[in-house]
Amino acid sequence: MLAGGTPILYMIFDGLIGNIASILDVLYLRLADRVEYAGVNAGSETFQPMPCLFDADRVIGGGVLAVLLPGACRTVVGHGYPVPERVMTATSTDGNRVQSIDWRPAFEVYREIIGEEYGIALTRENFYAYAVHFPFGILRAEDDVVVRIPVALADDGSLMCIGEVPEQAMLALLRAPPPDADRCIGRLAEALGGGRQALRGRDLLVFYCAGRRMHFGDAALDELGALQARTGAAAVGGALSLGEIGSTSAWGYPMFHNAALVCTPWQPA
Amino acid sequence: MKREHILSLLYDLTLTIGGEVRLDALLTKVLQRLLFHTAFPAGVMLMTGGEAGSEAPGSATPGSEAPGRESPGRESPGRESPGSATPGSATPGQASSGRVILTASVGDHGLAASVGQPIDVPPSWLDGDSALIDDVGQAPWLRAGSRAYRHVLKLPVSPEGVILLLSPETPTSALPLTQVFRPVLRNLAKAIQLCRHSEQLTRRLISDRDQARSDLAAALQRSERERVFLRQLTDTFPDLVWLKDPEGVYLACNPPFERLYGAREADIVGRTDEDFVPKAMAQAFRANDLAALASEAPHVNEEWLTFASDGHRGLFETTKMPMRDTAGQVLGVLGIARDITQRRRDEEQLHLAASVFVHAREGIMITGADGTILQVNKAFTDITGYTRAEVVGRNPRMFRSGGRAPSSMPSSGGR
Repeated sequence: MLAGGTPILYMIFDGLIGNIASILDVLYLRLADRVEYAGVNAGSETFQPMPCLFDADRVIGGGVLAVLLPGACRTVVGHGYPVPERVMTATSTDGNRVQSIDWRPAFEVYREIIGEEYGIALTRENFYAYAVHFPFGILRAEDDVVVRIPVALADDGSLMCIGEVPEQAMLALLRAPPPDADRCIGRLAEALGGGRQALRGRDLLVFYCAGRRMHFGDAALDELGALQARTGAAAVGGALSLGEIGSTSAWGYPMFHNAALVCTPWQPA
Repeated sequence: MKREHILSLLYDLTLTIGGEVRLDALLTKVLQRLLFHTAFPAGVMLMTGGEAGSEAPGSATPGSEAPGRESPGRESPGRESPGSATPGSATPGQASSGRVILTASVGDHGLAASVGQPIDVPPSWLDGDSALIDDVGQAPWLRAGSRAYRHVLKLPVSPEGVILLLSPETPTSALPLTQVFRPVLRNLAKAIQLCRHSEQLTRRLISDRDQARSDLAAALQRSERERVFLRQLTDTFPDLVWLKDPEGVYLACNPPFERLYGAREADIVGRTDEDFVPKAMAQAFRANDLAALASEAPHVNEEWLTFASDGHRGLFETTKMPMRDTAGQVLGVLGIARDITQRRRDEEQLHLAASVFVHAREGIMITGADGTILQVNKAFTDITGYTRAEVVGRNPRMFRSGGRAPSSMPSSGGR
């Protein structure tokens, strides 16, 4: 399919698996640089458990579909969400569940901040519709954030994310940016080929975060169009995803993201 | 924001450092978090210390060059080259050779295969402050790596060693990476020492535990052997043997005792004499038990016992004594009853025979097989005129020598 180079371990997880970041940590310890890491999460935006992975023999839920692709082109991941101003502490977490923030029930604090800063009256009913615009971020020294979109509100006021939040992590409250505010698409295109029209004649496999799609609305299609135009890809194909896997730098540490695009140049065998 | 941003990184690393008690887990987790935060693809921990200065058997690094001559390096503002000397005192074990142990590796399977091996690095990589070192591709030990690294972020963890983050590409962070991690690296050095201490304690505890388990197993084996021996001894013993607790409740008994009460040991244990014999007899048994408990010496009595198993009756000499543990605490009363019915009959027969011997009107002389006189009765001494002392031990031929009364020679007998 893709020729030469370090093979790509492409993983498609059931999006409801709560410890994907930890699984990636263990994989990187075991496999290190024998493979490149990329992948996405599958599932339903209702976030109800259901079989969502299949191969030639079966359809399963709660698992991972791992494919080893011969690699020639680097898979790139990016989201373009800026490092924010406000930091708070997730004082109690359990996997992908944020139970308390700054020693208070998580939803109470989240609702308060959204109300004070953006004038939005957050309720249980409109929670997900607004949460995609105001995700959490885990800060990194690379002047970057790993995005965590709260996707559900538990009865006890916990916020459920797709992807783990480290215990006692300092979280930033992000405001999702306007389209291409951080030259996200331009950066992805550069990383894919280093120059304009670098993928001319080749197809591009793109997974696009469903939460990002909700945030951008119709502008999401503009992003994909811009990506195709900048890379010169013959066709862009893919799907919406509920979480994205990859590194933001060449050969970098594999991470689990939200709100990102995962782009892999595709070359027929 | 940059201040809060940096604080959040330090907070994350501090939690990571404080959350581990095993050295390998601590180093691995810290390397993972550093790679997560910096986007460097690989990292290693090189440790100095006692074992690092001495060469491990068979672990020499072929082709290693003298320290400081591994690469010409490229100086750049705020950056070091691999060979640049940095003033500062050497930490223990590194000395001038720069020999250290590759203790942990994340992100490079080639370097991971060298974990535990001694390697040579330029002393400047071990000394001094954090630094970004460029053009490191010629460092011999790095050739074991599976990528061509060009940039190293040196993060000293004095005095334990140094963390090196490796990248083929120029790092792009807007944060001052050489400065950001300093505060937590000091804590990491302390955490390494604590982990070592904790592991030593754990090893000692495991060793003590294993020794205790081994001792216990040996003691149990000994105890089992002794138990089997005692069980077989009491089971094959013809006497009745039993053990009661201080309250008179049976703890154990042997098969002969089972026949006395006509019940199996399992049915006797946990019960008292009142469950098997009339109340008056049970009270007598209990009185003997209490007498034995009150006495330091064995308490002996004779009693007629009737066996429930077959109805036979016998005279028994019962010995009861208190049984104590090694601390002197009373465990109960051990009883042994020996059937003396036959012995008593024999004694009575002997008593009867002796009475006949003594009171007979005929003189009776008992001789041994060789004819030596063993005993004479009173009638003998009266008839012969000899005293018992004069004849015992002599031969009856003495009476042929014209003694005092040859006509009245006694009849003789053997035994």
